[in-house]
Amino acid sequence: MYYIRKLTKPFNFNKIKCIKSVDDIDSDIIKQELSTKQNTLSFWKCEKLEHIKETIKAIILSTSEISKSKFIMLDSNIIKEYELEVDESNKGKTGYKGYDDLHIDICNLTYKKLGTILNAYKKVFEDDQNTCEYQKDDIKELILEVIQQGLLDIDNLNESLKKDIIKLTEKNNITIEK
Amino acid sequence: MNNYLFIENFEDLTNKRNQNKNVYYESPTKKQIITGFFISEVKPLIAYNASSQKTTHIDLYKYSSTDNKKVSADNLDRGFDTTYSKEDFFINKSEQIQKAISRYKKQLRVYLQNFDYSPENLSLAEKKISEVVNTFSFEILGNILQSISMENYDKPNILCGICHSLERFDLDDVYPWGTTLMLSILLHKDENVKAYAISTIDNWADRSLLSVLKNIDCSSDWLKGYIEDVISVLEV
Repeated sequence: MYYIRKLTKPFNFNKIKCIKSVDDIDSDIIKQELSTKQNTLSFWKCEKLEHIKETIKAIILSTSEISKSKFIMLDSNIIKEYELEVDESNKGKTGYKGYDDLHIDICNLTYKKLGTILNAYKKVFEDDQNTCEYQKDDIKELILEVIQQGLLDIDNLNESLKKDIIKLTEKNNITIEK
Repeated sequence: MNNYLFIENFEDLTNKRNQNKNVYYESPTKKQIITGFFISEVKPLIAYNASSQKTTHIDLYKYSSTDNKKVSADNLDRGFDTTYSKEDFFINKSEQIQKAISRYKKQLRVYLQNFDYSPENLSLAEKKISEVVNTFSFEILGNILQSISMENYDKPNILCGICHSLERFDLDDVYPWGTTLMLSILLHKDENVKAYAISTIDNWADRSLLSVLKNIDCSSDWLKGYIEDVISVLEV
């Protein structure tokens, strides 16, 4: 099982990877990448990497813009190793119909546990196999796939993403089924 | 000389009419598209909003500049100089546009200062940028952003906000001012600012910008690594 999260900025991957110790990481990175709500951090699960596209679609349709995206993949061994708690009870808000149950929370987070997650990030980034990246055009293709499958839940989209998707469909002469 | 109006939307037209402003228009016997006005041969007059591409019937009156009396549409041909060409509207239109640009620039500068790094929320700056594009054009947006960038080059937050806001657009939309703007921001000494500009270029994913990426001056290992990552993808 993998737990996947989109990086706010792809270059934060390089910042975290290159820093000697996470103790010295810019505080902005903590805000950007580890911004919690009610002491939880959202991730999306993927049982097997062969099905990663579905999880990626769920994630990108939960964000606010179409842009190049880099993802971190924490496997269940890392979750165990760093003693992180997972809560699968909350469904995510995504425009990918039927995939809101891929959402999970890493919960009961504290200052110390955030540091633990940052260390986990650093460890994962040192092994590039546990990250994946999609260019902006690839993201557009994935969104168009979802639309062509009739699985876009337009009412569940962030307003600004909705505008970008409408623009994308107009450019490609595609109609969104309601 | 009559006062020209740049009408942003129909509400604006109604407001200005109610304020007794002079409105210029071509003779009703001629058809002319005037920066958003389409005056038909048939009364009542029709206004065409170029942004929304909608028409509506309006009552359009000329107010005499001497005695401020309302002159009906029927009488407007008499003693009325109809030799103004379409270009005359653009001359005065630019004054109106400059006022609007100045207003938007002021608001946008304030929003960019409070640029929100949170991925969940569309920042107020991005909303305002969308408004500028929908109301005017990408060219006007470029005008505004370049001006804000030059006047606030010592404020990294504003420059990062500009870069982040441009990521959602394709290069075709913002070319050529977008690339010029990124080039100027890449000269900033703050490497975080450079990273935001590179991120925007990365999103544009245009091979023509490879030479720019290969000639960025930086010292941090993380930024060098990021630039290499971006170049390696573009070179494929």
